[in-house]
Amino acid sequence: MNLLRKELKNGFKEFFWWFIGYGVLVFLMCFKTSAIVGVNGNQQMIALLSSFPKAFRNLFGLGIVDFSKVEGVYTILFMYMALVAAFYSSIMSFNAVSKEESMNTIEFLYVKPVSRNRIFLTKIISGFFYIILFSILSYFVVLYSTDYIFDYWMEDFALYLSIGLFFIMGIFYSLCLFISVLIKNNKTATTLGFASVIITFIILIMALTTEDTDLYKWIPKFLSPFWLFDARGLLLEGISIVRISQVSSFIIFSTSISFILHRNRDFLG
Amino acid sequence: MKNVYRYEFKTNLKTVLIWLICLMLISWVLIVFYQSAMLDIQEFNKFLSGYSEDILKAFQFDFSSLFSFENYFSGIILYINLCLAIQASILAFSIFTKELKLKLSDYLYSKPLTRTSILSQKFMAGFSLLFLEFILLSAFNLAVANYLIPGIEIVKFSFVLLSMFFVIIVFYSFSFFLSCAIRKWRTPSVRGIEIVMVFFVFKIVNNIGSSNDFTDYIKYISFFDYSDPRALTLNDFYSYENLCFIIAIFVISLILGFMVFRKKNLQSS
Repeated sequence: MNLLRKELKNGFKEFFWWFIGYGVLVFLMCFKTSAIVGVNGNQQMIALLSSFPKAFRNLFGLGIVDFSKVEGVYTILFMYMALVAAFYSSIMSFNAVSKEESMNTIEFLYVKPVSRNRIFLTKIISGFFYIILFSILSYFVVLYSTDYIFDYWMEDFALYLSIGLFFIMGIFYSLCLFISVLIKNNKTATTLGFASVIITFIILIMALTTEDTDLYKWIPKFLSPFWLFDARGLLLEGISIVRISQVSSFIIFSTSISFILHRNRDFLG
Repeated sequence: MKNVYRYEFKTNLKTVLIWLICLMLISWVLIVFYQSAMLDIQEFNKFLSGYSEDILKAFQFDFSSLFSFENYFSGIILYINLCLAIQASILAFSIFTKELKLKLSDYLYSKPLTRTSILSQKFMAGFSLLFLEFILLSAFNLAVANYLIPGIEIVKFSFVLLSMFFVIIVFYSFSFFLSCAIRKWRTPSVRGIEIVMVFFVFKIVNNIGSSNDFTDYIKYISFFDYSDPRALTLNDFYSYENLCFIIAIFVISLILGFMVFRKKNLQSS
């Protein structure tokens, strides 16, 4: 219990600042798009926009979602919200393993009369606690920012978004945990983890750009958590149980693999 | 000739090459995607010629160049710039805080060299690595684009690519200043990411939606905005105001970094 309390306390400061940044991002983005929403615009403009080249139209979400609605705007905003959250969760998972090593406190911790598995489990529990907290608070931020700025109340879609956010963060948390346990050199592990976030984000952008072309089937879309929980899919199809079960089995699998690897890891003193 | 320079250059060369290869792949893929969308764009241009010129003028866009390759790339280069910024700040933090972290400060700084000369050699090593990367990356981009896309404007495209250089010098010098100024760095690479993400968030906010009086000031916060190549669609070159900001950040953080570092109490062991 002591251990858990300490872990939660350590993580709180980082969580606080990241969440403040996240809230400011959501509010400012809503504030900036408030001029577009609700304006029907002239029909000529809409006709012209919907005849844009397909690649550009998909990238900006024109034609598929209605931009004069708040949900339509959120399909674009959610991409960036998810990017920030993904960076946060990957940083959190590196802190769980690499921070102790780079601060040379790992020997101190692991000679205590607590088993390795228990220490690791505590770290993972505190990580997932903050992920869940982040997505729950994000639900309220989305709900109240839309209520305040657009004067619009969208409970269902905000719930979908926060569930999507939870799974995106969970995937990156478990993936980066796996990477940081697998690779000995901390710097390489950190760089690889961030590279995975950026590359999967670029896969999403590519998938959006080429939706109607032949290239679309060549893009490894299923590698990108951002694509799996893309806001457009959430808006049009809702949450699919199959996808959630696939993703949760990935999270459980990679966390348990990192458990085994962590038990046999030779720490850098 | 300069041992510190040579040593730093050699140790970081491998990481820079890996980043370079990844960025080359990313930009190659981005160019190929434009190529796949070219048919659509030609159709759109045909469609546009049906409109009379007066209507097109009312939209206040220059439609003849809206979907040109240069415009596409100046939007999408943001993600390459994000990678470069992360790389530059991680490189700066790892070069300038390595001795403090490994507790080798007393070894290095008791050598018969002044602090200023050690620091300037380190700075030059990192800078020349990044400059080399910029040159190779933009040469690669120019070659690929020239080969795949017919009728690109080489001069304008190289101006677009120049924004990568601005991003590199701004983030490299800013992280240099921070790593000199702050006494203790626990996990430098994570801090580097966090700093870049703060600026990136403001850049996203600035990109989205329409601007009003309040949000106009956001564009002065983010370093990414000073080197935004989308300014090139309206002007021939980057605005002088932004160039001044870039040079000012570079020079001020350089001077302040050296001044602070000369008086810094380096912790040994």
